[in-house]
Amino acid sequence: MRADQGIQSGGAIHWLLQRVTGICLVVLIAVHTVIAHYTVPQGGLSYEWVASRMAYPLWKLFYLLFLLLCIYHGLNGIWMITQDYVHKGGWRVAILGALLMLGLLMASLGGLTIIPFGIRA
Amino acid sequence: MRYRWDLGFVAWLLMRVSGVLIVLFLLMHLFVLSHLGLGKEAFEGFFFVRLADQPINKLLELGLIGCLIFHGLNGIRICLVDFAGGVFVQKKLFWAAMGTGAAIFVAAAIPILSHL
Repeated sequence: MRADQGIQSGGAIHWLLQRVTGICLVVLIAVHTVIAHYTVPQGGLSYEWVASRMAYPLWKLFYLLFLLLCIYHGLNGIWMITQDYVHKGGWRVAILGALLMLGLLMASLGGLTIIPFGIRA
Repeated sequence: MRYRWDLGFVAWLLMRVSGVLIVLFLLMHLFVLSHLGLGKEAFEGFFFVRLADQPINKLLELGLIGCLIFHGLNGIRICLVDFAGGVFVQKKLFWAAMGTGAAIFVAAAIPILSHL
């Protein structure tokens, strides 16, 4: 592999984005874990409590952003790990395809949970 | 090829291991929470939700926050190394991250274990 291939293949932007999304996720995950697990009302975590928070559009936006950044950062990380061990072009394309499908599935699963939740409750 | 087990390599390896574990957790988390839309009774009766309420899962929860704290703080260290000249103090930064992480872990573990 030539030294200049990294940037030509488009890998550099994902290397940079992995760091940018990572810093954002440190903030988002701190908010998420503290709010969702350490500020619970008396009686513990309940369905109603989660639903009441998720009724607010701003929380929906927060969680949609959180979801998309998690999916990108997580699957990009898996992609970068596999690139260290898988060198054949065909296998790389197969892995990329599988990760894109998984990302789409996770975005659908999460999005379809976040967007309507809280309205019906 | 042989690996040298120095601090930078261990940090790199733990970053990968914790990252993969967090992705596996995220898949489970999304799967379980996708049942929220079924309504309160159906959700709380769901097999995996009842499984998550078992006391043994407090230990898994500690493992999860351990992975998150390590991955996040070591990630900040990586950014400092890559963008802020931290490469010359990368080992000191590692121990600073671990010290901060240990304090956050203890602070997070107390409420988790006290709800047992």
